[in-house]
Amino acid sequence: MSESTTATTTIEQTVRIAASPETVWAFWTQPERLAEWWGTDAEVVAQPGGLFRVAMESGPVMRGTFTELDPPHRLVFTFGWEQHPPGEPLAPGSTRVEVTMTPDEGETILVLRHSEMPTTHAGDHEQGWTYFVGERLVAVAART
Amino acid sequence: MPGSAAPDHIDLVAHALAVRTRRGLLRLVRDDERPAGELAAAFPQISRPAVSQHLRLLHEAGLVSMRPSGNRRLYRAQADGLTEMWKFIDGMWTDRLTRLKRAAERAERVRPKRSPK
Repeated sequence: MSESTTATTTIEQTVRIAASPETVWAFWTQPERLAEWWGTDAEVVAQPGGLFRVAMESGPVMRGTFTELDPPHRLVFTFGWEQHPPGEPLAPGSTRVEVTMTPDEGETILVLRHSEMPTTHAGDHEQGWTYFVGERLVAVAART
Repeated sequence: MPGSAAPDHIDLVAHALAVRTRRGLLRLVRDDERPAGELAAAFPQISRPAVSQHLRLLHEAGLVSMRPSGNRRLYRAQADGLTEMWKFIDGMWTDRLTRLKRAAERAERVRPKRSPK
């Protein structure tokens, strides 16, 4: 992963929704609403630092933390796959999702940006993670 | 941008990454090409055919490359594994945001926040 961390990937998608931003907001912050479109099960603590966890029916579990909430216009959360060992590209905390909802003639324009965390942001954290992964590799190999 | 990753492929990648053993295998071949036998030895609690099956799924999902060498099969994480992951994420959002749109519009019709005009 050391070679790949230099490049930063960002996904951006825009969707127009015939509903108010308030309605769309509820679909990001209420577990029973999240279950209607994203996963089969969701845990949400809709406050900065709060847990955001969504289990998808195909298996992966998204685990993140809310970092910004400005209802009903903008929310930002970290995004990773639960149980992905730290240091991997999609470990919890390794990427960030920003969602903006802008009212437009009674409807909502939703823009989603999903990007890698800036490498500098990881800082000391990254060191610890890599060490941990290294240890696990050794642990696996030692059993042979 | 819609449909940038076929749903089939998304399922394949999701399925491949959903199992801890497969993620472990992926990690072992991230920096070095390794023969299947060596990979199987790293998971003594799992039968060789089961490890072969895991490797096959990783290969089908495009997460590892495989090349025969003599009577061995050598595996290595695909250099564009990250690209694959992002393709998966991109496809996931395309799919999920379509579902979000439908669900939110349905909810709005049931309980409109404001009059349509």
